[in-house]
Amino acid sequence: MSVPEHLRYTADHEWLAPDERGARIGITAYAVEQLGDIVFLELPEPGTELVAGEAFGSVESVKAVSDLQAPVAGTVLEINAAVVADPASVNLDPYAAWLVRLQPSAPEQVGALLDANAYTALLEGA
Amino acid sequence: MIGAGARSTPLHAEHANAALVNEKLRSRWETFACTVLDRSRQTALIALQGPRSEQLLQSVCSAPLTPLRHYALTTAEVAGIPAAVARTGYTGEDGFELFIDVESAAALWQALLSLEDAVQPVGLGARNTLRLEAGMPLYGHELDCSTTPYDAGLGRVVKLDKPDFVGAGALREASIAPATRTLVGLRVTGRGIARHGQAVFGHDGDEQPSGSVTSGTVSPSLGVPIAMAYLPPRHADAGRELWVDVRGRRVAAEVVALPFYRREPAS
Repeated sequence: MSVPEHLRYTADHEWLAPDERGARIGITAYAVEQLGDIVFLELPEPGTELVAGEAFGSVESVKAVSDLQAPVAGTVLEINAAVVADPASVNLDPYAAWLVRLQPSAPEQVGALLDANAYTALLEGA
Repeated sequence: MIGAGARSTPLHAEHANAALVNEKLRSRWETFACTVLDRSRQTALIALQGPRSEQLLQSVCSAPLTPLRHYALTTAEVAGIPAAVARTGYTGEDGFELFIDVESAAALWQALLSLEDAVQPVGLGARNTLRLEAGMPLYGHELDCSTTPYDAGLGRVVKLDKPDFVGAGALREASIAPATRTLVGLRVTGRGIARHGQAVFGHDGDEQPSGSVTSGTVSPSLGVPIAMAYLPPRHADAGRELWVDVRGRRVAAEVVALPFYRREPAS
């Protein structure tokens, strides 16, 4: 199971990639494997304030609907319109197919997320 | 699976219903010269489904399959394993269901998988999209203890002219009563996927739902979200626009004829 070194993770199988314009958020290869074929994404409007740990959207596969939970608090800067138009692109490359870009409001929360080693350990315990 | 006496009649209940069916049979068996054996735990079921299932199964089946009609049952050896072979399934495709002793299940599974690469293990998620595309009602979704066969579009399977049977009186009444709800197909035209239990509204502004979704998914064959729902007959005409409450959002949908997808006729 692919767990890129440079990303941060949550126990809900989301990834976060800090960059020069905030942080991109997506779902991990493990989440994608569990969900199966992804067919629909519901994402918040830019400007939406997210609360860490609370649902901000949903990802829907043929089998099931799952909430997306905000890894950290912040303001939505941008959503990835390309994956909304083609949800299957998340199945193809979950680490390239980011869902939203966020401006974290409490940067220390980013540092508190799991690193690749801790997330790998969580998967191995699952 | 439930078998009865020396002249045995196998009865296969949907897994979720086996305990209920067993109980209902046991509550009535004393009026008949028979006994009910619950064979559920000794019996396994493997389904081989798809347009080529007859050809593939025939290569390892001792009984001729071409004469076996849909919904008919025969006994045979399949890959040397004694089996009850039924031309049934819940995929909307041609196919067979093989009832075998649990001890033989793993061997039969391996024998079928090794027929050729085209034979693949498929789970209930895929089965569910296929039966939904075929417009087939499923217990726990379109069917429950409050549904009549007429509600669900299954009136054709009830033979009211047979000698008396359990429920005959109630079904005679239901067969002539004006329908209060009918099972329809929906194609979601807005952005979203309708799912089991979601409310359906006749008009966007309605506060009272007129019905509810019983099953919904994205159809792999059609590439669009489809659903089945119970609606009052006045909302059930093909082409009618309706709204589904998808987790707090009203999403537009259109009534369409069932089935959503029909398999190619056998050549």
